[in-house]
Amino acid sequence: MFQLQNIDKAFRDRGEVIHVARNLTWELASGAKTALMGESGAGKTTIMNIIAGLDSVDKGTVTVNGIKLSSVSNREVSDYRRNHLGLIFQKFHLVPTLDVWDNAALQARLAGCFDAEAAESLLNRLEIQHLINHYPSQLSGGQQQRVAIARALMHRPKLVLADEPTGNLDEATSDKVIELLVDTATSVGSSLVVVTHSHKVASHLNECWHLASGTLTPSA
Amino acid sequence: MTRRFIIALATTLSFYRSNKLQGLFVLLGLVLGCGLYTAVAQINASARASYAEADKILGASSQLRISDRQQTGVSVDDYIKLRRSGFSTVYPVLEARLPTSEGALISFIATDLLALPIAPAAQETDVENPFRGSDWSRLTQPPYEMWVPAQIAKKIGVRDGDRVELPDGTRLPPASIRSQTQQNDRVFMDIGAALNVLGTDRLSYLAVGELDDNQQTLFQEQFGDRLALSRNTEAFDLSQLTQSLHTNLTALGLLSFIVGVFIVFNAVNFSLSARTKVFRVLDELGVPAPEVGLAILIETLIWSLTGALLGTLLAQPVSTALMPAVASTMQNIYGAHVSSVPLFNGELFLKALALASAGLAMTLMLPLMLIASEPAARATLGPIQVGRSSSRALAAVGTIMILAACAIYPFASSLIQGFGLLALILFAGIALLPAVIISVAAFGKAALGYSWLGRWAFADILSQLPHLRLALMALLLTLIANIGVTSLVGSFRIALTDWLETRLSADYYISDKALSSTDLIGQSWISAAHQRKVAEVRFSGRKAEVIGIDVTAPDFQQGSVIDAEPNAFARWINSVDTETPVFANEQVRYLAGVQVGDAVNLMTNLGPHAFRVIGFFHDYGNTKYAFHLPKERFDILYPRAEVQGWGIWVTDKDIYKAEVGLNKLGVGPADLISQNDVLLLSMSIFDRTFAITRALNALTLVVAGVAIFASLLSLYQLRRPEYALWRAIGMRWIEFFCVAGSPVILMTGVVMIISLPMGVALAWLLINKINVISFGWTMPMVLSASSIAFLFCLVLCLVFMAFLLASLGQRTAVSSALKQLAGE
Ligand SMILES: Nc1ncnc2c1ncn2[C@@H]1O[C@H](COP(=O)(O)OP(=O)(O)OP(=O)(O)O)[C@@H](O)[C@H]1O
Ligand SMILES: [Mg+2]
Repeated sequence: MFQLQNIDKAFRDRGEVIHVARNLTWELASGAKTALMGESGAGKTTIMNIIAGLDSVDKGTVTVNGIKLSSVSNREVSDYRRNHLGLIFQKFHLVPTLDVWDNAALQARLAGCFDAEAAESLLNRLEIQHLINHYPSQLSGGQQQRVAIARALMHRPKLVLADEPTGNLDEATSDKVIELLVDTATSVGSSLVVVTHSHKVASHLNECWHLASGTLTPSA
Repeated sequence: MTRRFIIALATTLSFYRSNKLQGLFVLLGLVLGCGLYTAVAQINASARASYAEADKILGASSQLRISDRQQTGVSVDDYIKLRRSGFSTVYPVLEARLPTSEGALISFIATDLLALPIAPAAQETDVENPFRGSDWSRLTQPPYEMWVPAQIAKKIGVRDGDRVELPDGTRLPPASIRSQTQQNDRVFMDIGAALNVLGTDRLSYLAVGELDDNQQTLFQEQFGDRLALSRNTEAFDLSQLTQSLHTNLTALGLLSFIVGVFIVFNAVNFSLSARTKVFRVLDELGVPAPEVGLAILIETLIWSLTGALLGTLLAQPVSTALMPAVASTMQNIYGAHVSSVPLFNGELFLKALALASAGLAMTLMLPLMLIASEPAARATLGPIQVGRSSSRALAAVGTIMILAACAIYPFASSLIQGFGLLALILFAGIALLPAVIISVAAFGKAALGYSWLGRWAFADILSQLPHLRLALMALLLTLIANIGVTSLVGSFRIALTDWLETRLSADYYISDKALSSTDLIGQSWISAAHQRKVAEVRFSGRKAEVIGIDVTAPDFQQGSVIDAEPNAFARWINSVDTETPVFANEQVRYLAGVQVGDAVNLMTNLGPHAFRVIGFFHDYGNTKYAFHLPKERFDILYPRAEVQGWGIWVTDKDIYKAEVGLNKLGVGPADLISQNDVLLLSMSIFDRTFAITRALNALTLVVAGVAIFASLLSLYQLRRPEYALWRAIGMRWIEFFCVAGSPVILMTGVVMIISLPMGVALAWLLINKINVISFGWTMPMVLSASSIAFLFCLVLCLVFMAFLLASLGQRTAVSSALKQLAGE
């Protein structure tokens, strides 16, 4: 699905150099579902941004879905995000002035592949079909995150990147949400990377990687 | 406390280091607001100082004036006789306004220096004496000298020692350039020199301080038959007349200050809400709340000091640039002489400081109260709901204001009440704005609901409105004022042009009084020649002119009469009624309260006489009352009246033939005025006069543009993570424009739509209330669609540019903004 090849990424902050990636190589097979763990500040979010084409690398190549990100135009990177990528964040960030239906349909509409029937069945699967006329401020955290999942999956992306999607939820809700996420990602055929601090969450995924001092190691 | 406090202060202030733009906007708002206000205050102060100066030296302060009963002016012989009879406090004044050979107009004032109450030689030490230390003796001896104020010298291009030439070839005395402003924009000469140079033996009037009863009786006995003693009401009239212009200017100045405050409010509001975290940290670190409050207070003080200081500095070039326009307004509309050099004093700076502090305090109050009282409520309700309920309350207030304005309208009769009405209209518009925008959003959402992008765009209006509300209100305020004032000026220009074209329809005006009708009869190049005669009288406490009119003359015809009795023109011509029918100018109607059909008593050469006002005519800009009589009737009542000269209408507009013909009749260029030139001159004077209004209008528009830009910027800064997310999921620019940009444009559209009727209402009030109250005349209101369209296009461009500029920063830094989304 994507390939990070010998990438280096460092931040310079007042003379201090923070290495997020050091000659890091990581490959994800199509359809794979993986967890990415690591201490706070290890660089997980940065790695996700690099894969999403929102951040650049100092060295090495990033290939996603067959596109070498460093050698294409901004526009193509943007098209790739719109058509083939789903993003989920810790804070759900729905559009407060749009109802659940419009929020969920947002990216599919931007990508020009919105299909009302498919949308309905997705919302059904996420068990929020009865909320479609509600506004985000009227929903619980778990419900909001499910709407965000719907938004990230409705256009059937090749890859879904979720950065601590359960960070704001209690344990029971977390379990439910991550289950639904993995389930729906499988049903639309997306690969999935979930950044998490929770081993319980990680246990829902097929594999798990650990990021520390700029290198990735598979963990048990 | 001190160390801890300084740390607290440094911490709160550090916000502006990382948010330089917000700091810039606080400052910009204060500087622009204070600057424009101070500039206007300075202009007003200088004009008032000019009136006072004029009072002090050149006789306007004289309580009494002496004039000839039959003729304009007073002869020098009479003056000498008066002095010889022991009226030693009488002094002569000669005022004139003459064109130079180069076409510039100069105002002259001359007096007898030795007769002045503050004779230069007598009071060498008097600080107030403008002649102190001057070599005034050169003024009184040939070749004489004339004192030219530096600003006038610059304007007409005269240097020290130059001798200005008049159109007839006469050379004025050598100029001496003066930096003093006492004579305002007038050229000063000794009376001897003036009489000599101007070739006249008549003084404009004699001025005299107070005369006791004995002296008054003596005067009546000896001179009463020929000379009239009158109270000098002109000074009073003048300050009353000019009051409205000053109030007008002050209102415009305050308007720009209010708009400035809107900008500050935005920036301060943003800086405070962005710093709530900082305040909480300080609180947790054990800095007591009062100290945090004090830190904010000191911050405010620093801001207002810098704002007032820079604002006052800004006011200097602005007022210097605007002052000549004001001076010419004064000269042309009111006949008041004002120095075109603005004054500065410390009081103005203190005022600016007070204004800046008050403005800042006002802008601080609301956000602080919100932060302090209900942070929780705000967080759960969200600004949208808060906005909705407050907008309803505001709309109610706005409606009440409009109803109140309608109720008060018929009763408003003073300038203050008139401006109160204006304020009601302006603020009603502001109060209604949010509710109208919310309704438009709801309507649009319903109408365009089938398109998700349309739904989103209209929904986004509600998230943008709370942030843009103030800036939009500021824009509305300026647009209303702009449309109102522009329509006023435009209407005035059109009315004046039409009126002047009738009034000055003659091709030539000949002031040669020796010319008789027999000379003119039979000249083939003359299609018509008519004379006007004028008698000066007083009516209702003001100067009035009775004018004898040739009933067949094209410059006063049936069409010129408004609101007349039936068949009035024919009755006026025949003068058959027992009470002589007369037409009066509108000033008589509005200022003296005379209605059609009322009888008025005026002095004639045969004694008091009753006239019946049977209609009115427009008489723009005239500060005197005027009455029109048919010439035959006039000749009977005023046999001693002065002839004003001839108006000549040339056959087939053959100017060349006419000039040759006039030359043959012995009419020199000095006695000849081309009406066309006068018309052009009048219009150019008019345009210069209203340059000040136009300039202030443009400036407030710029300030409003800055307000929009500033609030868009802080809105985008606030919504950066949100917009970053939109971009991260692949939103293109055009979609971003639809969702984030079109609401701004749409709201601007709503503002413009509201501003149109409100602006027209304002123009209506200005023309039919303020104008009537302050000048006593009205005019038809003319709206210029093209200039309003231009204004709207300009505003749209301005807002679109602001959107582009403010959204430009959005394209970059998406990833760093997304970090905020990732939970940091
Ligand atoms: N724009 C930036 N400039 C400087 N340093 C940065 C920048 N972005 C990230 N960093 C640093 O890079 C490191 C990695 O940040 P990142 O957000 O990727 O960590 P993370 O693993 O996602 O942490 P967390 O689990 O807390 O979310 C941090 O030390 C951070 O301070
Ligand atoms: Mg992170």
